[in-house]
Amino acid sequence: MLIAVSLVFIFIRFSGDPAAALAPPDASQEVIDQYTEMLGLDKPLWLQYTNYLKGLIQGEFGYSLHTGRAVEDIFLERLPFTLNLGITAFFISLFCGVPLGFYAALNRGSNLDRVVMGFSVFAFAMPNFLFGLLMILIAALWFNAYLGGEAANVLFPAMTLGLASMGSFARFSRSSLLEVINAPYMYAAEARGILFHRRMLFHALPNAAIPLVTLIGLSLGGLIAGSVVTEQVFAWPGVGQLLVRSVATRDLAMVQFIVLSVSFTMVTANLLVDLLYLFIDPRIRVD
Amino acid sequence: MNNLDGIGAKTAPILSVFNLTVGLPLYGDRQFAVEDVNLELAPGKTVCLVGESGSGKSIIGHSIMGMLPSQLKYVNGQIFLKGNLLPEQRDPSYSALRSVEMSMIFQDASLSLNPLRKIRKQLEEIIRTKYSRAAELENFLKIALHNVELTDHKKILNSYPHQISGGQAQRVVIAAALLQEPSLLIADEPTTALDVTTQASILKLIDKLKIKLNLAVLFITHDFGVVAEIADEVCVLRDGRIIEKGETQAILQSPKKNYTKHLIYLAQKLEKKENGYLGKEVLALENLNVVYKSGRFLNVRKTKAVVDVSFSVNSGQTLGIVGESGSGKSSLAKAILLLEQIDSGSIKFKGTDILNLNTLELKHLRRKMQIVLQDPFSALNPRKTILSAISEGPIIHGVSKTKAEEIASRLLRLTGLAKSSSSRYPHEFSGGQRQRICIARALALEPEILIADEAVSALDVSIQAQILDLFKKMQQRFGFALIFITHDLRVARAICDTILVMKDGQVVEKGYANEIFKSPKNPYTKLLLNSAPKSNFGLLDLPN
Repeated sequence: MLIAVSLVFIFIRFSGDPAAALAPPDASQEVIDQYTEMLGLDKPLWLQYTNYLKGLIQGEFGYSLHTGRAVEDIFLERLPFTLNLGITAFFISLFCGVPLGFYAALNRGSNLDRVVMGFSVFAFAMPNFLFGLLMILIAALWFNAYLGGEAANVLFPAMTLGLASMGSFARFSRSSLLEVINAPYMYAAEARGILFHRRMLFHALPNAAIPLVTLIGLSLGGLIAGSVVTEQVFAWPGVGQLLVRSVATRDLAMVQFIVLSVSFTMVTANLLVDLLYLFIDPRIRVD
Repeated sequence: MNNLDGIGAKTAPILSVFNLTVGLPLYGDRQFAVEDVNLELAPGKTVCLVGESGSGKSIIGHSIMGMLPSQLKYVNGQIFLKGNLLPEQRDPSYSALRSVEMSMIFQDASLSLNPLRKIRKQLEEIIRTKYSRAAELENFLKIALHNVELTDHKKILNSYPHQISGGQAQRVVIAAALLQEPSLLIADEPTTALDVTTQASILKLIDKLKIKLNLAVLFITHDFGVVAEIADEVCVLRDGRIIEKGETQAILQSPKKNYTKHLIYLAQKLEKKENGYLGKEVLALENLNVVYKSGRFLNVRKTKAVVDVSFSVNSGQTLGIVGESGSGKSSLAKAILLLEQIDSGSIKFKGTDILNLNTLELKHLRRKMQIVLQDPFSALNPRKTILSAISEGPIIHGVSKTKAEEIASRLLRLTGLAKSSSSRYPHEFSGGQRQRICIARALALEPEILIADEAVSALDVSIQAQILDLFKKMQQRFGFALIFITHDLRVARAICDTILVMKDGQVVEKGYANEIFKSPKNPYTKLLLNSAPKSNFGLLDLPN
C-alpha cells in the first residue's frame, strides 16, 4: 500500500504543473505563483510528501483543487454509480461465462464448444470503446433506451463492461474443468460406481473452482478501476469518469485519492481470495 | 453359468473374456490396442497381466470396467461376469456393477482420491444408501479400514488425502474398492509408485484379502518381480496379444517365448559389476549435515535431512546411494551440488573445499558437477529444440555456438539418438529417449561428477536396462564419477561399485556392492533386500 501511495505521489508531481493548469491561460506569472503558494506546491518535495502521508494517516485526504470540496465526498458521490455498473457487469460475466465454459468443457470438440470458444475469444479481443459504441447504436436503434427505466439504463453499459471478462471466465472455466475431468480421481470415482451427477457436483466442480476463485478475485479487485473507458463512452457519472476528468485538469488530491482507493480494493480483494483459498483447499491449511 | 464352457475348471470362473479386440484410432501406432484376448479368472486366484507400457494391459482392465475412453470406437468380443454378459462400454447400467460386483484400483493411490474431500466423505459416498444410522456407518467403515490393516481408523477417516502417506492411501483405496464386497478386483500397477518396503506390504495385503474374501484378482504389472510375488497365473502381453500364459511357476522356470525370457531376465539382472579401474579421488564428504528449518520464527522445527555423512568417490567409480523415500538421499545430492544450505561438515572437490567459493569459482565448479533427474518429462524445456537444449550449457560456459552444436550432435550420436532428432522438440520423444537427451545434456559440459537422482525410476524395466547400459558406456568413455541415487536395489546392484544405504538421513551401511548384497550386516539393509520383489526365480538360460 505504501508503495502504491508513494508511486502515485511521485508520478503526479512529475506529470505537470497543476497551478498552470488551474490558472486561466492568459494569467501572468504572478498569478500562477500565487496559486502555487496557495496550494502548498512551493514547499520542497519531501515536505509535501510527509505532509501528504500525515494527512492520510489522520484520514485527511485533501481537497479538490477545482471545487474545493473534500475529495472523499466527491468520490463517495460517484461510487454508487460505478458499483452499480461494475457489480451488474460482474454478475453478467460470471453467470454467463462460467456456465458457458463448463458447458463447452463437457461437450468438448463439439460444434457448440467451438462456437462458445470462438465467441469468448471475440469477446475478449473486442476493445471496450468499440463494443460500447455498438451497444449505444443497438440501444438507440432497436430498444429506444431513453424510455427505459433504471434497470435498462445500466444494462447496456454493464454488458459492454462484462463482455471481456465473460470471455475470460468462459475460457478459464472450460480449461480448468477439462483438467479436472481428466484427473485420476475422477476416473477412480467412476470405477467406484459413483454416479455422473455426483461426480460432477462433489468432485469435479469444487476442484475446478479453485483456479476460478483467483480470476473472480482479480475482477472484483478491478471493480472500481475497470470501468474508465465504458463510463466515458456511456457518459456514466461514475468514478472512472471522475478520474479521467481529474487527470486532465491535474486535480492532484482527487487523482491521488482515486488511485489510492483502487489499490485498496485490489489489495483487499486479493486478501479475501487468499482467505477463501484456506476455506476451499485443505492442502493450503497449515496445522 | 450355462453359456460358459468351463472345461477342466473346478470352480465356475468369476470373469471370462472371449476374443476381446479393441481398435485404436486411425493414427495409432498399430491397428488394435488389444487383439483376440481370452482370459478366465477363478475366485481366490490372482492372474497377472504382464507387459511393457503400450502393450494394452490397461486397456483390458478398463474394458472389463466398461470405462474405455470414447475415442476407442471399435470394441469386439464378449466379457462375462459370473456368467452374465456385460453391457456395452460406458453403458449407464455399469454403475450398478462397478464397486458392487467389480472394482478397480490404480497406480497412484493418492491421485485416486479427491484432494478436497475428507476420506470419510469419499468412503461414505460409496455406501451412502445402505446405512442410515451414523453409528452403524462408523462401525462399518472401521471394520473396512481394519481389513486393510489401518488401525487408527478415526485419524484416517478425518484426514484429507494429502495428510496420509502413499502406502496408507493405497490401503484406503483398496478399502474403498472392497467396501461393497465385489467378487473381482482389478489392480492396475498398484505398487509401481511405492518404495520397496511399502510395495511388499501392499502385495502381501492384496494376497491376504484375496484368500479372505475369495476374490478374483486381475493384477496388471510390468514387473516380473511382482509377478513372482503374487501371481497364480501369468499372461504375457505384447503389442496387444497374449503371447504366453500359464501357471506362474511354470512360466518362471521355463518360459517358451523369447520375449518372456527377456522380461524375466531384465527383472533378475543381478550380475555384479566388475570392479574396474578406479581413478583419483574427485569428491570427498566429511561429516556433512543438512538441517531443514520450518515454522515461524519463535517456533522453529528442525528436521535433520542428512546427518554426519562421510564418503568419497573416485573418477570412474559408481557409488550407489540407496534408501526409501524420505531417507535424505535427494537432500544429500542437492547438498553436493551446493543447492542446499549446508549446516556443518565439508565437501572437497579434488582436494579443495568448495563450501567457501566465490561466485566465479562456483560457476566453474558447476560445470564439473552435473545431474540427471528422475522425470525426463519435466526436466526438458518444451520450447527448446534438442540441439539447443544440449548446446546451451557449453555456450553459457564460453564455448562458441558452432563448437557447442558440434559437441551436441556428437553426444546425440553417442547416446544413441538419431541425427534427425536435433531439430525436434522434447514432446516428440518417449520417456527413454528423453532420458538419453538429459544424459547428453549433462555430458555436454564434460563433468567429472555425474549425479543420477532416481534417473531410471520412472522408466519401464526394459528401458531401464538400456539407460543403465548407457550410463556404463558413457562412464567408460568419459571416466566421470557416477553417484547413482535410487530406491531400487536391483538397479543399484546392476550398476554400482560401492553402495551407501541411508535411513533417516544417516548412513547405516556402506561397502562394496557385491558384499552388501551377499551379506548385509545392518538389519535395515536386510529388510530392504528382503522386501524387494523376488528376483532370483531359479537359474535360467538367459539370453544376453
